[in-house]
Amino acid sequence: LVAPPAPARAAPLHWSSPDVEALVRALAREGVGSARVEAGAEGEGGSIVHLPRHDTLVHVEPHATHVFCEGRPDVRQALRRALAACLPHV
Amino acid sequence: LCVKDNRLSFLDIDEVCEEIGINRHIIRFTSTVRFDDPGPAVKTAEKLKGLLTEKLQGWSITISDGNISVESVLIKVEGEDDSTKNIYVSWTNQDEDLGSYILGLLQSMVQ
Repeated sequence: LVAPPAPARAAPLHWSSPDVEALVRALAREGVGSARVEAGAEGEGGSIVHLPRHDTLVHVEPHATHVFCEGRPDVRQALRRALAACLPHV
Repeated sequence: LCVKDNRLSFLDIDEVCEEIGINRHIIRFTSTVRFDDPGPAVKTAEKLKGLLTEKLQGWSITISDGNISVESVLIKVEGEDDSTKNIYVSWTNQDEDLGSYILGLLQSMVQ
């Protein structure tokens, strides 16, 4: 296990919301393919991207994206890169 | 630190977004660790807090109703008294280093 991180590291700030089709393409580019997209609950909006091969579910809403994943760092880093590719950030 | 009304001000990141008129998009990750620890979930949470306090010196760690918080990292323990517990670890993209460290620590603890 690596040493604990130092506090107060700068991190990217994202805004707007990702286009789900663009996100699926970005995930495929990162090697996280076989995505299945379905609409979120009626009245709540958003979309749910299932990634069954990686036991991962991505809930995309207008102001937030919540990723439920198994905990593999390589998959999580691929998801982070794909989301960063679809969202403006500084 | 920014200039607001001709004065230097400290603003948190949400206030900055509001000032410049952008809709922040929060990215959050959640993973689950299963931990065989008989007894009440709140006792398991207290053990985890002790472990985190030992490993994360210099960080502010709080516990409330059995939920542990370190910055944006939230750790929640669920499960019946006599069964394996599910430990949910959740963090925002901004706290990836901290969140992934804590998840790795808990995963190594249960192996």
